[in-house]
Amino acid sequence: MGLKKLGKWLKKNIKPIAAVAAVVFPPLIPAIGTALGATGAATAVVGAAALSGAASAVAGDSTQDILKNAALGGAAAGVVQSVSPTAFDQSLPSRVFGEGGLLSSTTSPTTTLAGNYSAVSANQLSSEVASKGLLGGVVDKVASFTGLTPDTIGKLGSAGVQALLSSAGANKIAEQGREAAQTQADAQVRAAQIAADAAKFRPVGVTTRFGQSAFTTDAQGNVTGAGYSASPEILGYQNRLSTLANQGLTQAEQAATAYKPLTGAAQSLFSLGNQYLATSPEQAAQDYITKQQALLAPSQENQLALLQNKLFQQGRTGSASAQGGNLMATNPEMAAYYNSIAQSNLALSAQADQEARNRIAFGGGLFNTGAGLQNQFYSGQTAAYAPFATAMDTSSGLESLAQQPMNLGTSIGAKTTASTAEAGRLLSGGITSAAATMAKPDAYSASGNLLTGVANNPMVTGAINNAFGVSNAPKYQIINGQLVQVP
Amino acid sequence: MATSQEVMQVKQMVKESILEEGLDPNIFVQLGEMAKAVLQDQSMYPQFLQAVVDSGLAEEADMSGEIDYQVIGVFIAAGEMVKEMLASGELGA
Repeated sequence: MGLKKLGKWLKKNIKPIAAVAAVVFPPLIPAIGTALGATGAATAVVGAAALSGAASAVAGDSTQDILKNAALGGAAAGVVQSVSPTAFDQSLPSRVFGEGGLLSSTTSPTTTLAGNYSAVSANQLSSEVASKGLLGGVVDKVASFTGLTPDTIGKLGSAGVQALLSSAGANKIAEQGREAAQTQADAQVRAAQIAADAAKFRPVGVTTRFGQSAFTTDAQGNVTGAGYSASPEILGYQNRLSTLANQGLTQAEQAATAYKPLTGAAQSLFSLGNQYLATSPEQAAQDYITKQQALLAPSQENQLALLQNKLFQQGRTGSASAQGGNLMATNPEMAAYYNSIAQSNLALSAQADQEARNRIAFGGGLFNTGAGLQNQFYSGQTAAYAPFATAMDTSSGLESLAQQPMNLGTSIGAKTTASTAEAGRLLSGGITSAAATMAKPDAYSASGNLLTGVANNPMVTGAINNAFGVSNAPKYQIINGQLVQVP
Repeated sequence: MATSQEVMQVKQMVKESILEEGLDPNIFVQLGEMAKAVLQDQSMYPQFLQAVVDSGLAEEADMSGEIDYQVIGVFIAAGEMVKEMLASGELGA
């Protein structure tokens, strides 16, 4: 029952849509498989076969035929295994697949195949092969089931056919396993590549008023260089500052010579101070008195001369009058004169100690002054570097401004790289997990399991044992094209 | 398994053929839903076939024999694609 004569649109589109239907609507295949009465892993195989039209479900074949055709044809088993049959509402009326329906069988299934479906025909066929041998009717059924020609079946014999089925099943499973492992490995490699690519550092280009970042990458996107270019404004400032820096450095170089007199002056002060400090306080006091008397001597002598001349003019030279008591008789003017000298000496004597201390303190002060000059010799030279250092510091500050775009680009790139790396890691993990999840379904071989199930059927164990020379099993030989048990 | 690129190509082809023949996109949505219903209740299959013929997409239906699940699948997929295109504005409602 179907569409007998298609319209133009349907004729044009039916095959392309059927080819992508399972992708467009993922629950479709298991839903069809379920509608056809298949269960478990067979659901997807049967559904894919019916959808592809490769299986003859439409023509009224049995479910077993659908399974066989789908299995032998490899009907998209790997494609549909990942789709859960429960993704589609499976509330199908049981009457469709009940007694007399597509799934009904007159023979109770006795062999459960690895594909988790009942191989009624395989069981029947195996029983017939074991019980009847390779007679004409049985050979036809085997040929129909396996696709082998009757002639080939006759040549192989029962045991050979069983061995071939077993080998074909094993090989199919191994092939599927290899493909699944390869697929998984490929997925893991791809996942690692994605993660590594996502984790690559990706700086961001940034331009500011003061400069522009300049990152270079190779063909694979790896960063091979990082730099920046200063703006013309910054470069202009730096060029002018460079001139100032040159001048400042020259001044610094000349500073030692310029400040050298300070060293000489300091040494002189140190020598002078030494002289002051080398004199004892007593000697200093004596020296003070002596110097002061020497300073006073000319004026005192002048005063004496004037006094003597006055007395001579008055005719009183040599005249003296008694002073009373035990004092010597003298001229009053002369007595006053000498008394003033004595008074002056007394005053000098009284000041001499203080003056001595002052001189010693002064000598010590000379050392301080000399040390200060010497210190200025060095500090002056240090200060002479200031113009150069200031120019360089300013230029360095300008350089930092020009560097900001590169630093910003690196910082932003680091943040975005971290997030993309995390995204890549998640994607990688997802792919790896998906690959692991798909590994078992991919390794599942409908045809392999079907054939292995047939070969593992206990009803044909004897024939298989015979083929592989197991001693306790019945032995068979082909005699005139017939399988005959031999002792 | 069909790739997403292949799906896109088929989708484009479906769209162009619908526009070329001046078909109502909503018909595909309705037939897609009917096809889904058939998967749950096969007794609805004759009505589904009749609806396809009535829509002009087929000229004649054979009401005897087994269900053609390829046709069911094609209309479900076509319905889904047209629904997406209607939702995205690729096809006018």
